[in-house]
Amino acid sequence: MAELMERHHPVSKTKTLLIAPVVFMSVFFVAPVTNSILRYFRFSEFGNVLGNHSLRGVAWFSMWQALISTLFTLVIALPATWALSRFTFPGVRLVRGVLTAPFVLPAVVVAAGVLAITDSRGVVPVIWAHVVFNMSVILRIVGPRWAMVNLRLEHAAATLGARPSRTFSLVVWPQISDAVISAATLVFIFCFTSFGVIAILGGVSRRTLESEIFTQAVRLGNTETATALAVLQAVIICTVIFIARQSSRPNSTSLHVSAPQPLRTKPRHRNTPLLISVTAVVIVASPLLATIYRSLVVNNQFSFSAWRTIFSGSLPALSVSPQLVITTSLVFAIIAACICVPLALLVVTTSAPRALFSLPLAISAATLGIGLIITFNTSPYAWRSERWFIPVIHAVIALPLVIRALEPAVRAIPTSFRNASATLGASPIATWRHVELPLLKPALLRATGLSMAISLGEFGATSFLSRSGSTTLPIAIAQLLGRPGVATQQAGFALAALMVLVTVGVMSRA
Amino acid sequence: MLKVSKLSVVIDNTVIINDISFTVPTGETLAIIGPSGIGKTTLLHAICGLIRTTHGTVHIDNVDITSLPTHKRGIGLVSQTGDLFPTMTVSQNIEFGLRISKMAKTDRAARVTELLEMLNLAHLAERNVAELSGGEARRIALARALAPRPRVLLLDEPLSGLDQTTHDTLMTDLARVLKQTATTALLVTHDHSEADFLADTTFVFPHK
Repeated sequence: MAELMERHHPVSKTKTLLIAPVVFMSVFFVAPVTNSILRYFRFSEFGNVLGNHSLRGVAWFSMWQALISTLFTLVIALPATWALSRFTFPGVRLVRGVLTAPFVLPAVVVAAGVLAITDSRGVVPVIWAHVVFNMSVILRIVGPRWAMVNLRLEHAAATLGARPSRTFSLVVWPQISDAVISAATLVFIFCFTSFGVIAILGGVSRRTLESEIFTQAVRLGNTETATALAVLQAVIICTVIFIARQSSRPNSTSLHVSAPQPLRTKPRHRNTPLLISVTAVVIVASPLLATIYRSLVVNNQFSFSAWRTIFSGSLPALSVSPQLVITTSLVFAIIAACICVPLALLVVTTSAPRALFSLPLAISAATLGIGLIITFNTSPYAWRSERWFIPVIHAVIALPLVIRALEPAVRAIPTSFRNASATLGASPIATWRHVELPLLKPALLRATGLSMAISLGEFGATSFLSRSGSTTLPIAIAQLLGRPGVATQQAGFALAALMVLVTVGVMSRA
Repeated sequence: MLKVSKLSVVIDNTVIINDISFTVPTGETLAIIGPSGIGKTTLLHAICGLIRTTHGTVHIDNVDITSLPTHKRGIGLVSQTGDLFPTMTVSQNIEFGLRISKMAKTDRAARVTELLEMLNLAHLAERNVAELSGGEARRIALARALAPRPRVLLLDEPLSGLDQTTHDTLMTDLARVLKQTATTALLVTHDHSEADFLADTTFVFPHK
């Protein structure tokens, strides 16, 4: 059957089409990252970094804040995951939507939301923002697994005298542990490489390796140190992934989906899932609502002045008008989607090497950023200052997630449809155009929305490339919230609120 | 005329079909009978080019089509599941092969109407295929396969899984349509009564 699929798959037949995504990733990701390491990585500098008290402190802070952020995320997200995978109640879809939405929101917007509430910077706001941002990772990875734990096994344990806690540890945990470890590892890596959140909430004293790479490379021009930090960061990430894989035992228990249970009538049983859900919603939604509130209220007075400014005025803190920033971000998002979605479609419909296209998930945005400014700095490839370069890099960063969004839809098309089409005289290309493409339309819309959301929110690599004419919304928000002045701050919150509305709008239509 | 000569199919070192030969004269129906899992569907897929043959040849009207891709063979297939395209209406499904062959729009419409009436489907023309019953879906799949006037029509258990009444009605209609259109057809089935009713000749699928 594999032979059958290969022969008749429209795109695999023309292997040359594979060249486009492979060349794209090689030129804009593999080449710059490899180039920066080959040219600037020195073992001696690695030693200097480890011997430097200040940089060691940055590495240590990166580690422990990521660890604590991960623990808090688990403590809040796991009960919510239990409530949402085990029970159904009015509003459950809204709760799930609210809790999973921040994943596609820019990190700087989540950070701006937390700042809108706390009005202070430091470790606690950083951890809160990380929890908000990463809650959906736990829900998306652990939720489906928890829903597959056979409820009858829990009932059997209960009838054999096991308390709920014992039932959880002996029956449920062994079946969900690998999903929890996998999700926790991802959360740790996201927090460890946090940049946008740190840029807004870290203040002057709290820096992660990711933000320090930017400072060393861009502000201090110390490329060798930045490269050494990037390698150190990659080593730590690889070690964490290795340890997580060692402690995760893939589950071989036969699983089946148990339908969510309606809330029971006893108040104790009814209230616990509701209370957990409401708490999680408050923790996640309050920062997002706070950005809107802070954009509309200044000195306890309701005012649209910040919104008027971002749509028709100018701000001294920004070198370009807010309208140009908004337009630039939207144009970049559209261009990135136009590049990313067709490439992702080519990847999922061919036998393209998946590992190559997963690399942007494993290598941080700042590491890519250094590579880009080093590699594309000299003629004839002096592209780092070109405006078109930013959406191209956004497409590179969005590609792994867009591929994952499209892949299930492509796999779900039955081979028998292709067979039927071929026996009706349609060539592989005609089959793809008339049969497969219409079936993929909803997934393509979702993928386009996801690509646009990622481009709109990209902060790490864009920080290395952004110039005054190509300032994007996340960069502008970080600049505005980093400056003093009520009007400036309020405009920053207005831009953040706009991003919440645009991102939610884009994703809900997709 | 369909002529299959010494056809063998080996997939992953397993012999699925071994040295099979038969001929279906023009305008006639040959039924191949055999139990489930014996390789009947694989045989049809090999004849229409959906899987590669290991040995042997397939001729239609004395032209060797063994190395042609599926879409150039002029062989229609009605599968067990119908496989109607869910993004198209009933009419669009029937019209599909005609659109692909770039037939003029008015001619396409006339052919679709002709088939809808032949199979008593006119009332379903604009229906979404998701709303069809099992029997209706089989009729549409048959109409869709007949629309481009295939040189040979392959029928892969076209009546399986239907309730008795629907099965009998569709079997009668299928026999009528095959005679009316003088289609050269190859039917595979495990049901002897279907084979006796629909086919001019029957052939028992040889055990491997």
